[in-house]
Formats: sequence, structure tokens, C-alpha cells
Amino acid sequence: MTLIAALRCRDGLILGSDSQETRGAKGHRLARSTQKVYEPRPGFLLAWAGPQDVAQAFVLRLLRAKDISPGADRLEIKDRLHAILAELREDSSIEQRSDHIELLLAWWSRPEGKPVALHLFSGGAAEWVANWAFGGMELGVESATFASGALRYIDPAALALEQAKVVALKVLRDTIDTTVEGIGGPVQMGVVQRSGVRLLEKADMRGLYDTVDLWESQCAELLIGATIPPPASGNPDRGMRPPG
Amino acid sequence: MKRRDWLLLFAAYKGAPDGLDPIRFQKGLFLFAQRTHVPERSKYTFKPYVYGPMSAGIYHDLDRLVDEGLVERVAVPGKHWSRYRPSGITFREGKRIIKQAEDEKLLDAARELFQIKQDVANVGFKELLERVYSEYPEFAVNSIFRKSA
Repeated sequence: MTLIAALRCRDGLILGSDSQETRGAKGHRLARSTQKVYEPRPGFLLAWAGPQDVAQAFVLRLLRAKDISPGADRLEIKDRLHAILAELREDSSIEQRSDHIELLLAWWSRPEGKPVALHLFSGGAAEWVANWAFGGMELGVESATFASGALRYIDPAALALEQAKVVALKVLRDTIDTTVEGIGGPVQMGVVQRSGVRLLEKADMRGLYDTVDLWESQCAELLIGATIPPPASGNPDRGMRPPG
Repeated sequence: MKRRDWLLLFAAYKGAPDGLDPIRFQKGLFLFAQRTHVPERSKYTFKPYVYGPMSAGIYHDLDRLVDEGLVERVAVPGKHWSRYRPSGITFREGKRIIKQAEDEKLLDAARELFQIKQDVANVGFKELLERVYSEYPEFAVNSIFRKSA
């Protein structure tokens, strides 16, 4: 089970996900870390939710497909992606092919000069992402929708990419923090911008996590008495002083 | 002296009995790099990040100090970051570093670092960012937080 998300902003697009893969029956689940956002071919970012073998089969076919590039018309790309999904459903070698899978695929559309993202469902449906889109575990999607709704005073279309990364991370990690089972682990993110696509490294994510904490801390500081500066702790300060 | 010696000394100084968050470490060591005349190799390198000056080296060295048992990482309820708190070993190392600073004629820098810790520990985040941004605007160019007029 998974949570995946897309957020379109003023000058780019972000794909994100949790990083936990769970297997087994409820109450006996095993969780392990897995990569859910990656660059399946140059110029494209993908986030998947559902059976991993189906996602891998999709990526392999996408990798082998000819003439799919960010320079192509987006409707043509959409048709090609649908064709790949249809092939998957008919491939008897994929055990979980009939299970539900959701994909978010994003790229910088060169003909349109803007980032686009497509929310694909294994049943054949597809939606273009306008601002926010969520996929994966139902409870996670509901929580993420609520978390993004709690930030409705922020217009994604007005955000620069760097700001949008922080907003996307806040929504994803708030969702992970509040959803009981099935999604978890550190947030993974990738970005689409005019210069191409990029996966955020662990060091980038650490800085972003601190930025969200800093944002929340400043919000708390707006309320009198909501924060205590470090020296005001009730614990004894055994720290050193410099000589002289 | 190595740059992580100054980081450890910053942790060892008075001013934050429960430890400090990573942002205050970042801002404190940034101010130290700007205000003191220690050799360049003893300073962290900072880039303008979304919350102002940031050095990936500080994150790395804080992790190393924790792994080596020289500072303690303490979880903070409601936050994803941890505070970094000194322990008995931190103070023992701190005394060694002070001695080394004395040998290398860097006691003024050690005193300045103490003052910086008092400054960054005593203010809220908003005020801390404002101070750094107004004093070093070139490191605020990528900040996502609004600056006061």
C-alpha cells in the first residue's frame, strides 16, 4: 500500500510518495523500504501505487517504447501509455496484473512549455493533474486530501518550485504521521522543471524536512507562549564557558 | 583546529540545556564563519538555501558526532528534527578543544562562538532568520520565508 502525490506549481511539478512497501494480511504485515518515485526514461518522472511487479512491468515497457519523449504531443503520449497498460492487463505472465494499480507520470511538455502530469488507473481511466492529485491507499488519499485542504489558503499556482516542495512535503508527511497502517517511511520526491526532471537526494530531503519544521515553528511562535526558547528549559545547564 | 571541533564546542557551551535544533546549529556556525578570522579550512562552507545559509557538512558532522557518542540526539515531540544535546563526553572534549584553541591563539574565536550561541539560543526562529537575512542578504536570495520590510 502506498500514497503517491502530484503538485503543480507556478514553474514546475512535484511527484512524491511514502517509501514503505507492505506485504501480508492485516495484523501480520511486513514493511520494507522501497523506491516509488523514479525516472523511468529521460525526461519523465513516475510514481506508482499498487503491486510492485505490475509497476516494474509498466516501467520496462515504457523504457523499451519508441518515440515517447517530452517533445511529443501530450495526447499522443497519453494514448501510448494507455496502450502499455492494456498490454499489461493481457500479459498472463504478470501474476497480479488484474490488481488495481495507479501511476502518476509527469514531464515538461516542450510543445506547451509547461509541466504536465497524468494520473493513470489500471482500469483505463486517466486524469490530467490540475493542482493536487493523490493516489494509492484509500485512507491515505482521504488523509492527504484533508491535509492539502487544511492548506487551502495557499494557492499552488502561485508558488515557486522551492516553496511548492515544502508544501508538498508537509502534506505528505502529515498524512504519513496520521495514517495508522499501510503507508510510512521517509518521503520521496522528484521535480519536473524546464531544465528537466530530478530526483531529490537524501541530503536535499533532510534540508526540506528541517524547512517544514522551521515553517511550523514560526507558525507556533505567532501564538504567545506557544514556544519556549532553549535557555528557558527547567533542566540544569551544565554547559561550558570559554576562559576569561 | 578542524571545523567539527568548533561544532562540538558550540554544542558544549552553556545556553541550551536541552540541546539545540539543526537550524540553530546552521545559523550559529554560519555567523561564526562570517565573524571570526579562523583559517578557512576551519570553517564550514555555506550556500544560500530555502531557509538561508546552509552547510551540508554540518548535517554530516552532527551525524558523525552522534555516531561517535560525542553528542546525544534527542527526539522532539511534534517535530521531525531532533535536538543535539551535550553529554559528559562533550564537555571533556570541549575542554580539550579550548586548550587547543589557546595553543593556536584562537581564544578570541572561542569566545565569539560562545557569544553567538547565547544569541541564537535566546531568540525565536523568526527573529533569528531576520537577523541573519538582514546582516547577510546575499544568503537570503533563495529563502522561501518572507523578510520583513
